[in-house]
Order: sequence, then C-alpha cells, then structure tokens
Amino acid sequence: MSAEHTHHKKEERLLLIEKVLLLKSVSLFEETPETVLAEVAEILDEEDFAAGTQIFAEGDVAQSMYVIFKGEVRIHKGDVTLAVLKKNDFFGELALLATETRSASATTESETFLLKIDQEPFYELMESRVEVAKGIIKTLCRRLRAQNEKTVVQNK
Amino acid sequence: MKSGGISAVVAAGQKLLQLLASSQASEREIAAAIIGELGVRSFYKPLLTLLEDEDDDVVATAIEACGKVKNEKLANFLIHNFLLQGKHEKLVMDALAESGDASIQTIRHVLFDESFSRKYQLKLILVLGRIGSAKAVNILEELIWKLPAMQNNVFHALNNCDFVSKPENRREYRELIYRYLGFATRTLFSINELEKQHGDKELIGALYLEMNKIRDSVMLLFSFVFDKEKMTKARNGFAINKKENIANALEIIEIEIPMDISLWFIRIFEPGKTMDKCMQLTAHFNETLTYPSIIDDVLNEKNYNYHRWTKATALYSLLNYKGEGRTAWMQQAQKENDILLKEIGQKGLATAEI
Repeated sequence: MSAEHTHHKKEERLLLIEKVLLLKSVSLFEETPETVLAEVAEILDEEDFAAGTQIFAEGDVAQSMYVIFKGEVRIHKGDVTLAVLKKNDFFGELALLATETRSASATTESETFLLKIDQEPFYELMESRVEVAKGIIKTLCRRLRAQNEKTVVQNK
Repeated sequence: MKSGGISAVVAAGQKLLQLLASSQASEREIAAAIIGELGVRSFYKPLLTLLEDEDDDVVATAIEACGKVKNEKLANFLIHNFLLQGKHEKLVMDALAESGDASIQTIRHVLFDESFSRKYQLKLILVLGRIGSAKAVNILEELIWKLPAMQNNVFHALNNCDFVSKPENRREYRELIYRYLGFATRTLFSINELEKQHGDKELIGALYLEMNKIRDSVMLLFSFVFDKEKMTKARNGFAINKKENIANALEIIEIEIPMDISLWFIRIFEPGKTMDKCMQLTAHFNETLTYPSIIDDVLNEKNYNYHRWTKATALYSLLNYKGEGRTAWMQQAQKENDILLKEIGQKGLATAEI
C-alpha cells in the first residue's frame, strides 16, 4: 500500500448513514438490510489517494474490498487497462470472503477517496451478527442460481 | 480418573495439578480440557484461574470447559469478565448455552438491569433461546413486558424454545397481537403520507423494513397462540417473498386465525399499493399524520420502538427540512450515545448555524 494515502479531510467526511447507503449499492450487500449494514459501516476505513497512486499490485495478497466514493480507479494488467471504475463502483469484493491474490493492479486516475473493509473485522462481525452472513449467503445463492439457469440455457 | 479406583484418582489428580501449575501453556490448556471432560460441578476453582491465564489459547479452552462444568460462579465470571467486555463473545455464548440452567441467574440479573448495554442483552436473549429450559422460557416471557424494545428478539428466542403460551395467558398474547397490528397500521399510514408529500426514499425504505419486522413479530405471536406448525409454514412463505408463497401464507392465516385478527392482518400485509391498503384500513386508524408528526413519532418512540436505522433516516431527512422543531430534534440527536444518530445531529446543528 502506498504511503501517499491520507485521512480524508474532516469536513468532507461521510456520515455513517451515508456509508450505509453506499454499501447498499454494492452487489455483495444488496440482500443485506440497512439495519444490518449500519453495523458493517462501522468497520469501514476511509482512505484518500493522490492521482497516480497504486492501491495494490497484481499478485498482492488480497484481504480487503474497496468502494469508490470519489475519484477514478484504473484496473489494469501491466499497461493493458481492463476497466476504469468511478464513484459508487467497488472492487475486490470476493477478497472480503476468501484470501486470494489480486488478479490485476489498481491505480488511481485522479484524487480518490475510498472506503475499505478488511477481512478480519468483517469476519469478527459475521461471527457475532449472523444477519451479516445471511445477507451475503442470500446474494451468493442468487448469483449461483442465475449462473445455473444460464448454464442450462446454454446447454439446450 | 472417572472410572479408576482411589489410587488411579490420586495419581491422575497429581498429574492434573502438575499440568495446572505448568510453565508450558500447552500443558495448562490440556488441564483445562481435562477439567471440562470431568464435568464436575464443584470442581470449578482451577478454571477461574485458567480463565485469567496470560495465554489466549488456554483461556479459550477454559471457556469451553466452563460449558461442560455447568457452575453458576463460572457463568457469572464468563458474563462479567468476557461477554460484557466484548471478549471471546462467541465462545462465551456457546459455553453459557451449554451450561444451561447454571447460567440462568446471572443472565437474568444482566437482562433486568437497565445499566447494561442493549447489545449484550441481545446476546444473552439469544443464549436463553438456546438453553430452552422451563426457567429460560419463564425469563423470556417476563422480558416480553420488561424490554419492549427487544420484543422481536425475545419472540425469536421463545420460538427457538418451541414455546406455546399457556391457555390462561392467551388473552395477553392476543392483546399484544392487536397492538402490533396497530403499529403496522400506523406505519403504513406514515409511509402513505411520506410517499404522497415528502418522498424521503431512505425513511420510507426504513419504515418498510419496520413493517417486515412487525409482520415477523406478529407471525411469531401467532405461532405462540395458534397452530404452531401451520404458522411456521406461513412465516416461511413470507420469508421466501414470492407471490405464490405469500398467497399461500395469507390463505393459511385466513383459515387458521380468528376473523377479527386475520382480516386486519391480510389488509395490512397483502401485496398491493399502500394507498389502496390505507383506504381499506380507515376503520383502524383515524389520525391525521403530517411530516413533523411522523418524525416526532419515530424519534421519540411515541407508539413503537423504532430501530436505530429508522431514527437515523428520519434525522437524515430533517437535514433538508426548514420547518419548526428541526433544531430541537437535532439537539436531542447530538446528545445520543449512538454515533449513527449523534453525527447527524451534529451535522444538522452545524448546517443550521451556517
């Protein structure tokens, strides 16, 4: 992680309620009610990055998920750009559930403000609040069901 | 030690004392596990020492052993020195549940003392639901009236105990069902008013979540008073949240529940537009609601104990409100211990000053 990230300016800080609303837009949490996300929001870290900062590199051990509140992040393999993510986009969501290595690098395109959830506090929260895990399981089941249906259609 | 003669007991006892006094954490951990396996209620003092061990693994094994020893003093220690300090929460909850009635007295004390945080009280309610004994059920029944803000959690815990109300108490439960249907009706009219006038998306969403919670509470109450199996089936139908499952759930309720309750319930919770439902429910609600009266109801819990999220969305919607009462509500929020509410209050007051 680059040393260039700083704490976000106090006057621009997001309210906890706004973090909840932002989390609700992340597909991993779409089945989780806001009453539960209010607790997830409490473990979010706020991070600021200057333009051109590498957030992580391909091959790094991944244990965090990020949500973009402000700015743009380029996802790339070397010089090849895979995507440019903007406000309310998120990346690394599966790293929240299982440690893996990053399949691509992420670099800021402009001054960027991110919200980060680390795996360890998230696991602790899931252990004490089963509703957090329930919401995620629901989302994963829905995705699996959709994938199965797609496979059936493709095999017809 | 369990099955040997006196000489075996003495030899094993000496070995256990050596393990307890060992400088090796792994040996103290073995001692904790052995005491747990012995499960002798009066042999609890060594565990009190191990619970204060410097090594975290020894402490964790000692907590597990407490569940098997089932001693009141250990349960008391676990609750005050770990759970209420936010340490080893899951292990402690498992041990308390395994301790069964040995945990009950301390749990009761914490639940009936208002100075303890709601967060930990909720965990102990869950533990009571897992214990499931007659004593646990008695405490949970008392809690329905003592802790109205946690009624839904208490209902879930009672449901875990396969609770069915005694015939002599059924009237009280039916009255509670009426009260919940009253809350649901008020909430529906609040949503209708907000949708018509103000359009606060977050607050409306939060009130819909309250409606789901009220429906869940009513369904659990139904299962305590009426046919448990059928009510569970209906509750599951709502949980699946598909058109045909909801229709089946409503049909079960129509058949199984007395008409004075079932008709009211169906009018509130059947799929349809809020406005249409409110038109059908005018016999149950004749107050005129306004945006400030809805906000006041939510923030001051005048009729129902709203979730902190609902209160937060009400405050958040007030940030854009210029009318009377705004400052007082924000000042009240600023004094809250809950950071979710407090920081909206702070922002509200700061923006008012500008």
